[in-house]
Amino acid sequence: MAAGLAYGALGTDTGGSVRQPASFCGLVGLRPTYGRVSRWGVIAFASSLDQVGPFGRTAADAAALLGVVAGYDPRDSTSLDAPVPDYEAALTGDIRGLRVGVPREYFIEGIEPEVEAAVRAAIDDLAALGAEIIDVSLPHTRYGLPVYYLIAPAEASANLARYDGTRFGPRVAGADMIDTVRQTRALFGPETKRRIMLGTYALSAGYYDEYYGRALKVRSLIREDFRRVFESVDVIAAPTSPTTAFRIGDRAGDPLSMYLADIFTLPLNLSASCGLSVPCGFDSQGLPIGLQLIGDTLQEALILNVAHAYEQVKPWHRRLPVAPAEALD
Amino acid sequence: MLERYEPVIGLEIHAELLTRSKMFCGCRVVDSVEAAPNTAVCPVCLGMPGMLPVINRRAVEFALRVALALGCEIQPYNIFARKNYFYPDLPKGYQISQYELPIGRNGALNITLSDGATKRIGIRRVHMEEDTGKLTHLDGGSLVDYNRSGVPLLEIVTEPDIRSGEEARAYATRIRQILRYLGVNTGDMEKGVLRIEPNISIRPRGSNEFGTRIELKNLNSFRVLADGTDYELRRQADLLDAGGHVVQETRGWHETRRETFSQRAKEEAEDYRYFAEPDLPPLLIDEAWIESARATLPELPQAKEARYRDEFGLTPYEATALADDHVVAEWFDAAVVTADAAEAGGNPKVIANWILNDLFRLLNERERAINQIDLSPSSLVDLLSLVARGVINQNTAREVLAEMIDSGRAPAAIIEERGLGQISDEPALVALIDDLIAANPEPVAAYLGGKENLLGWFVGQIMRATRGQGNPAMINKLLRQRLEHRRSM
Repeated sequence: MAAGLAYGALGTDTGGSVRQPASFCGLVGLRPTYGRVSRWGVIAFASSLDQVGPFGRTAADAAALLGVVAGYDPRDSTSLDAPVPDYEAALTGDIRGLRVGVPREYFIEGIEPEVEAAVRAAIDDLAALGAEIIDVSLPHTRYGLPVYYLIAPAEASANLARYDGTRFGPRVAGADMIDTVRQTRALFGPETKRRIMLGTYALSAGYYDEYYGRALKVRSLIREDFRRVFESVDVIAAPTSPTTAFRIGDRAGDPLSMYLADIFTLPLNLSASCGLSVPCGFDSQGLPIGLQLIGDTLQEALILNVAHAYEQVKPWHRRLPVAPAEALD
Repeated sequence: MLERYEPVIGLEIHAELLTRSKMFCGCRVVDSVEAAPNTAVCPVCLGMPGMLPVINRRAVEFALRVALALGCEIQPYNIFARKNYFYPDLPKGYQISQYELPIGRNGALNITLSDGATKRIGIRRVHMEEDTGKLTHLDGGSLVDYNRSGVPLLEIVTEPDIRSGEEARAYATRIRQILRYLGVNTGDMEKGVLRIEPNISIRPRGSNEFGTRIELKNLNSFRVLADGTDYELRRQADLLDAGGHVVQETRGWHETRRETFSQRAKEEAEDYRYFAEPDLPPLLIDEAWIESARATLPELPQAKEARYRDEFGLTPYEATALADDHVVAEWFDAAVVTADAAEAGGNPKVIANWILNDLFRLLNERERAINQIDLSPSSLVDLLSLVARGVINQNTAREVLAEMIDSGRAPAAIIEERGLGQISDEPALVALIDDLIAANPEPVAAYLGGKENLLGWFVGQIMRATRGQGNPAMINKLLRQRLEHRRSM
């Protein structure tokens, strides 16, 4: 997409894997409300978080694609039986009177100054377009990361159990049935194994209450944070990622720092909200920065229109990112 | 042994539900013994990546019926859970089941023991889940048939209230009967659609702690359930008496040696890491759904037996025998209703006797079930009303019934064609009697002279003249009349 080879694309956003790459690549990427798009046919990672979303060069492109894939599917019991609005028709560019919440928990220590500056400038642009900017608080934001890294691996540990070499995929024949399963599953990569182990542990007898059970409780607090904030604002504006793109392999040896890159995208996935990333500038290395717009349940049309209005005054999407020379070694 | 130890037995029953399609996909439910392997499968029940379950509403209704029939409290907010373990017959690596919130809880079933006593067995839970595939082990490998994978399965778990093999058998038989009454299971244990697994332990009398329990599996008949349970109780008592201890394990039944044997030791508690199935939202069962399911419940066997005894005056044996199979009971009920409406054809007791004696004998001879023959309840009533009206006698009726079963024809047609009708034509009988009296002056004189036991000889002569079809009561009456008439001449 960033190379201009496609008009649009689909991705799954479980922890932020549509919005974060969109932010890093200077694209629009939208994570719909859980249940807006059917998961039928999507290889499951974390079933209660997985959601298919569109990438586009602009909000209008993403809106067109979302209109095609959104809707109720009787084959996915978690899909929402709600009418699909005309997302493209919703792109009026008029956001006067819109209440935009800025959560203080998303502007924390560790965020790159250039990222924070670009996002704050974009929020000023929204104000200039007639939006009302309101300080808000999502107090349980910092628990998003630990909650996600208990719930997602727990579900993944079950979802990946079928890759046992019995019916499909690679199979390493062992001495007996259990040995075959053991050796076949040794083929998973280190990060996958790490998550399966994490999830298995979180669900184990004696640890369930302390880890998985507690994560579910905190998840409902995070959900409640969003519900409460959306009583007083229409949209939340925040950075998509605390940094611009990091080099391939840069954080592979340090999973925790890699997980931290998701802290701004994870919380809404644990809630019933939707969100998108729209380009809002470039850092001094020429790497794109993303503005995250978060909407309440099924408010995809609203956040697409805010992104569209912003694009009209700040057409960052017209500038193609140029990878720094050292990243192309 | 029972003086020193108290047996503590709980039963887990797995019953496949006779729905048309599987629990979470549209695949047909097929006979897993008859059907060619892996012919009723799809990406969902094969656990292919990207596939999602959708709850079969009919299976929930069946589960609801069973839970209600067993007097359970119904869970309005049902959660499905993933039970995680690896086995080749479990394609997803987890089984979708119910864990913390089963559809039914705290039910009970009263069982009747051989001495006539009644005992209440508590039902701890009734929950819905999906069946696994089936493994066939061969030399050099194992084959998996996924036809059974995803078939709706109901697990019914008792409290540890059972104390003997006989009680276990009485409970399991009752459950099977109820499942068949509800139309949710065929009860065919040989085909594995009903699987009964007792958990058996003993403890010193007076103790409140449970002993180490074993689980008995792969029992394919009620007799084996009773014998296996009793064997286990004795084995455990002997072990404890000898200073040994019971090992927690799964045991099987060796039919020729008539003893249990160790199949698999449970060295450590299995950890299934249950958690709520994220692919399925909570299943809500509201009061209206519960009431509509309750409305579909048929009269259950115990209620039928009571009605047969109290309203129809049947003996406990007759009531139990008629209610045993719901098809027979429904057949009997239909016959009684027809007889009532026709105001003829015998009372329930007469109908019951015909079914239990003659009809059952004829069915046995033909190796057929009552719903496999071309005999309707109303045609039996027609036959009995011909007996009541004196058109045929009991013996003829038995012959006619046999032919009705074989030919499916109406009793009147059979009687007419074969000339079996009992002669109750008064003028015709009078003519025969008068001829007889005229032709036999000596016996007549003897009779009139006081030898009244000669009446039997006259009756026999008339019966011979009517080739056995004369109405005996009428012949008796008319003979007396005509002979008395003679006296007055």
